[in-house]
Amino acid sequence: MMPAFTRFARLSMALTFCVVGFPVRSAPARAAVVADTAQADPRSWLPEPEEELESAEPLVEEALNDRAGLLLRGALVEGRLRLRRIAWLGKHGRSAWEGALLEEEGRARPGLRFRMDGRRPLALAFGRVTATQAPVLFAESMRLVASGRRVRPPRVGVLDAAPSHGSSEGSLDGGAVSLSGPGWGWAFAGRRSRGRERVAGVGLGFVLGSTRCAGAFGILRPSEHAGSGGGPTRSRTCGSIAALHRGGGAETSIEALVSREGRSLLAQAAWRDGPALLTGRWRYRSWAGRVAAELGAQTRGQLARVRLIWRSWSDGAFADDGALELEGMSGESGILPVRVRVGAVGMGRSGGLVQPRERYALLDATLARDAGRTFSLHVLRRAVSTPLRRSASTTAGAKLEVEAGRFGRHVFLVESTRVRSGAAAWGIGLSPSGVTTLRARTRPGIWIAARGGFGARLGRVGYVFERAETAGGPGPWSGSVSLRLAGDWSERRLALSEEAR
Amino acid sequence: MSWLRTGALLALSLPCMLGPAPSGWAAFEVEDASPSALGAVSTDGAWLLSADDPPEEPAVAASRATLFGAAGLAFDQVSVFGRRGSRAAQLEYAVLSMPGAREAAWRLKVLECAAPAISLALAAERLDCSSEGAQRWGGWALGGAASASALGGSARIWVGGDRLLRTGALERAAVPASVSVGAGIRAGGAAISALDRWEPDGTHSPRLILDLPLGPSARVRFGRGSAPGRIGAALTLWVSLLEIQCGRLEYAFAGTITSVRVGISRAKERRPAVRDLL
Repeated sequence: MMPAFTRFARLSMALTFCVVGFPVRSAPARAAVVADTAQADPRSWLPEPEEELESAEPLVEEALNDRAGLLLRGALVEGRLRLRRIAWLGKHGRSAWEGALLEEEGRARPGLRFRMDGRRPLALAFGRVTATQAPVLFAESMRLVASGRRVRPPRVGVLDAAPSHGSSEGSLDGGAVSLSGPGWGWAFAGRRSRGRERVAGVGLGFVLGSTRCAGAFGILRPSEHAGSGGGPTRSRTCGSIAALHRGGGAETSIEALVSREGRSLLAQAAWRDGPALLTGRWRYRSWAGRVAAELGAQTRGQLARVRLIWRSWSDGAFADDGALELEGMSGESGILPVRVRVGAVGMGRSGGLVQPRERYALLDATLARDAGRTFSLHVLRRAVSTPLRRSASTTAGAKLEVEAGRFGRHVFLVESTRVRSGAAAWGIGLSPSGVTTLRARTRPGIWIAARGGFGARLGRVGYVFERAETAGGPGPWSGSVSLRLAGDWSERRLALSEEAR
Repeated sequence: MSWLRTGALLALSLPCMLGPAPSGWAAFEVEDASPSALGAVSTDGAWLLSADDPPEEPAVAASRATLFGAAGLAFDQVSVFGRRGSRAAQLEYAVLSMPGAREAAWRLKVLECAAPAISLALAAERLDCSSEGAQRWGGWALGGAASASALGGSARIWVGGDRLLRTGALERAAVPASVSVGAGIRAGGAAISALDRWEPDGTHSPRLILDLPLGPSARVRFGRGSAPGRIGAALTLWVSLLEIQCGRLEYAFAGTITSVRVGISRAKERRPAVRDLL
């Protein structure tokens, strides 16, 4: 079934087809998000909490990674498997087509993207698509990303739109078009799948020596049911300009936004000297009346890495809820690759205000490796204290990774969580994309999860299963199953001949 | 925990008498009542991978335990061990019998023995409960463990999951899963292990186990556990081809379990703890 497009969405689709000379996406943008940072590279940092991600949508599916083929994904919800998405990517010369059907609330939501590579890559997307890579303040104002606690670095580049993997902040029924190159432009319009607000935006950018400059303008109109879901109740227009300059081992970037809510400014400065990297980010929102900052320092040595992050109090805080986090990892040449993170939220005294103080620690140690197997142990601890109450949670578990040749690669995880006085807990979450995250838990229990896949180039069956068992008994299985078939016939022939050998 | 004195007896008997147990009662709580398990204060099936290595040669053993001094309440086990290459297997049949009811379990464990760094183990169980006047019920359960060795095999850390996967009848009967995490060091024939077992409701039961060789033909094991507080001891004697064990487990609430085990093996060598000493 086709989704009910509004006149606004139809206009956006017409715009999509009529406008010539826009880019879309730098290709690796989505791929970079779904890189298995915590699994494939043991030297990567420890996983981040899911609530701090800009969008959880890239987690739900293994990316096609620009390889032609067919992907079918089913979701296991409450113990029942349902087909959620069918995606197809075809390539012909320098052009590529990607089509998808996303099941949502019993309806099929089609999405399509066309991409033409070359000196000035062109991309068109329409239907149920997800817009990403928009300038940060602009995207927050247009409600295309989740507003998190973190101060994100400014982005100066091309908006990316692709068929949605699921419902997220940036998914909309509409269209987008983009053109890359030394000068770039993009436009999008549609109705957000969450909140049903109508949004449209246009952006232009150019490169001037080692400086990239961009501007964007957007409109957001509230839905007919505004107010019931917490969305905006008034129309919103915003304009944003951004610039990024690289040179002399430093990178500075800035984005300024003006909207009906007020003015906001986002700036970042980064300095690199050998293995050391220093970054500073500041965000000012006139309606909040304060500056949020995030300062970081890290070393990227071969033997060990250390990272220190300090965040100021958040925009709406009544007391100091600043965070300080220290993370370190030993190198591969050490006895055991160990990664440790310790952090504190809510520092200092806040007068007579009751400010919870949180302390947390994460430890992940790779205990042993032998032929194709890796065994690691992890412990996560969170403790929150107020003058009246103390609560804590502990999660301990183990992860076994098995590389079984033609039987694929599999990860098994088992962990147990204890909660005292209702503290929030963290656990390790395996996602279909391969990204490992920290997942919030509120109850004690035992969690088991498995992720893996069979097959490689010709076809691949991927799976993620997870189940929790609490004091009330075991819960239903959840997860997803995907089938991916290579669509490039030369690749299929190569794979068949390799298997025959 | 249902390990109060009366609670223990109820937990043992009620599930069988009533059929699939209501939520809150745990059937099949006693998994192993051999003297070795009593010495390790671990009758709950927690994985203990540091001190006990599977025998080198085929072996057969039988044990009988009396629980809490209750008349007609006994736990009998028969085990067969085999080894092929780097893998060992243990097939066990265990019966908890009580007046008017019984729990029976077939248990197959397969373990990797000679893996240099990482060893895996799998356990499959068939659990059946029958009682007079009630329908017999049961199901399958699957668990596993992984351990990592260090310091030339002298140190070991392991994580095991017990009954992580169960069929529907066992889930309805509130047979819970558990996770055990342990570490042990073995040196000069002695071994010390620390182990904790976590349950889905967040309770945990830490324990400490010490193995000491007494010459070439004997070994003692002492264990101390908490939640509930308990101590255990076991003595193992090797006489020719015979292996004789006796053990005792005492709870702080005054409950006691005693057990005797007799085994026969073609092994020409003693267990590693003794072999190291020699």
